[in-house]
Amino acid sequence: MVRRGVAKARPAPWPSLVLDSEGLWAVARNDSEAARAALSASRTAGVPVVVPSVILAETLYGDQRDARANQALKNLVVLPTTEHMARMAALLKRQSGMRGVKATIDALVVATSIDLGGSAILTSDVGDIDRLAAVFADLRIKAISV
Amino acid sequence: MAQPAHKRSASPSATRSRKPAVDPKKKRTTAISQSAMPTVGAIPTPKVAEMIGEIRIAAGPAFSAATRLKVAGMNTAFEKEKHSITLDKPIVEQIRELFGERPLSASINDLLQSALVQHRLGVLVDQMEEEAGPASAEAYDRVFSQWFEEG
Repeated sequence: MVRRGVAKARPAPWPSLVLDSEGLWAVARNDSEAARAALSASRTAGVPVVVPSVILAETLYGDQRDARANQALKNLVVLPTTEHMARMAALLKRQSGMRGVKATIDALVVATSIDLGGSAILTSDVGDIDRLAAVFADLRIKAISV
Repeated sequence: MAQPAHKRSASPSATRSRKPAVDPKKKRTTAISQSAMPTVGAIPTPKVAEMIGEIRIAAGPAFSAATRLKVAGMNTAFEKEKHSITLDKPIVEQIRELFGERPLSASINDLLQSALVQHRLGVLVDQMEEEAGPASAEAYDRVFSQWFEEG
């Protein structure tokens, strides 16, 4: 099978790639070169691309507007949010001094990355994600801007 | 597969399946207990520090893609279906070498899951590149530089 772009694709250095809401939409709309590079590099390296299930609640409309997102989600790993992740997110929020619903969802995204043993996070919220990830400085979790 | 095959036999999940000599109450390497939550300001309590250490161990180089997904909650609640399949002997030998004493079914299940995840990702990337073209070298540079950026 001939794959376009494989010659240029480089293997991802991250152990997994997690998508937040904007990351998922960037993939669904296919309007971000950074998203294509991140996914292609993940494919080349054989690392999983993961969407935390809580992101579906934040991102989807529950109607036909979700068609493109659903198309992308068919080929991605949707990871359930476990109690362990939820407790981790609470810890991250507390230690980073962040509050509110948006911070809660961001913290769950970072907690998912921690559970995966570190990851790149495809997001538009680089600052908030990096601030939460800084709590666990021993693990490499880096936000990558769409 | 992202990780060299010979390293997988030393993965945390493989170790767990052999009843390691660690506290048997800790079923998962990354388990967190309520007592681990309290902290004093920005300085982690010993319990939190221990938890961080456990997570770092879990993130070691032997952590395969399949193991990552499994530890994180994937593949734990699916109904099983019994099948009789025939495999090439060298393949079976390699799997046993990789996963040690782990049950063959579980090992094959993890490998298949990982392969399917990667296949589906490949389908998605192919669709995206078909639609909008492959990412440029500059885009790769931008993305990779963010990963390697310090701080």
